[in-house]
Amino acid sequence: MSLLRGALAFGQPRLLAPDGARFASLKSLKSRLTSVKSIQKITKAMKMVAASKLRGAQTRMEASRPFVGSSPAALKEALDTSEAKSEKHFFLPISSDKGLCGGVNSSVVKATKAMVSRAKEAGESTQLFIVGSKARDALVRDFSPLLVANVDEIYQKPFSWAQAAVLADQVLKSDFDKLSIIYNKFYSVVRFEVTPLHLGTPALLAETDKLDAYEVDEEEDAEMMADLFQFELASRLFNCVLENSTSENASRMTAMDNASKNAKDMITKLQVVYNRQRQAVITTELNEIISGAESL
Amino acid sequence: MSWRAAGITFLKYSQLCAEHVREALKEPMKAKKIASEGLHVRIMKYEGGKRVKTEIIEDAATAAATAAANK
Repeated sequence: MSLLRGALAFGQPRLLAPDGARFASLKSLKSRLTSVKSIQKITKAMKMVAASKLRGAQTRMEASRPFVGSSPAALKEALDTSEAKSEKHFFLPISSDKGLCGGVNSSVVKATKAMVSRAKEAGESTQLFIVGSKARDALVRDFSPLLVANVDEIYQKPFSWAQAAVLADQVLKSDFDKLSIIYNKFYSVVRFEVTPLHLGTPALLAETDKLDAYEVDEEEDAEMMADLFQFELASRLFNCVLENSTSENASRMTAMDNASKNAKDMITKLQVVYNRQRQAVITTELNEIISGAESL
Repeated sequence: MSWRAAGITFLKYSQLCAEHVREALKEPMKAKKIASEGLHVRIMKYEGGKRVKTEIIEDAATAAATAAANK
């Protein structure tokens, strides 16, 4: 308890110990200093880990971008439902499993909450499919009736296409007419933005005339359209999850860098207080010895 | 198409094809490729705000690795 009080009363070391106790405050300061130092060690290590993971994630994410880029513009246009009205709106927020990564997850949660509320106001029926345990923890309280499924433990190994395919298969088990994937798009180590990606359904592909140039016979090729949509959905998901995990690692790196800096500042301040107090104790003792000797 | 008659989705079909192509690789490329393609997903289904089912989907190699790690 005194340690905790010590933590709160930083800068007022005299409150650390009861009156008359000379060494208690010094001792608690020392232990506080040690604990801040070990916290700094941990945050530094976490920063290094995040930096090396970031490199791997970024390579994979950049390798995944052509998957999304390769689909013809007509297909993208046909599937784009960002302006369209919907009746059954399916939301897919992507978050991480682990915390301590800045605002990456909370911004996805905030955006999801806003979008779901807007959809509800517009009279759409909504469903939630959450990727990652962090968004689940934050959204389950307010939106648990909407929750269809939650997927986690996907980041233990680098995210693979096989996992994206499993996710897409799970998503397609639900019935919806508009799908919104909410994720952090990675621009640079210091810049990532929550981006919604709106997709339609295979039915939309069958209706559209944008694919006419490809000589697709919509009626006969409905099955092919469904396959095409599955592949498109899996590749978008693959890219989105990788973008999000790259952003997560970048954000964790920055957050841990800041934490290490703060710990360093704190150590400097505590060290000064500690030294001053130690000196004060020595001076008092000397004073007592000298005045004792003089009075003899 | 025959795979459609078997009742599997296109993604599952492409997944199986990829697996077989990977199987056909020679060592040491094979081990490297299989190690890089881990599959482990935990899916929790919800109904009416309550968790009703938890399902873990993983490939044989990852399952073996997790079992070995838990020992």
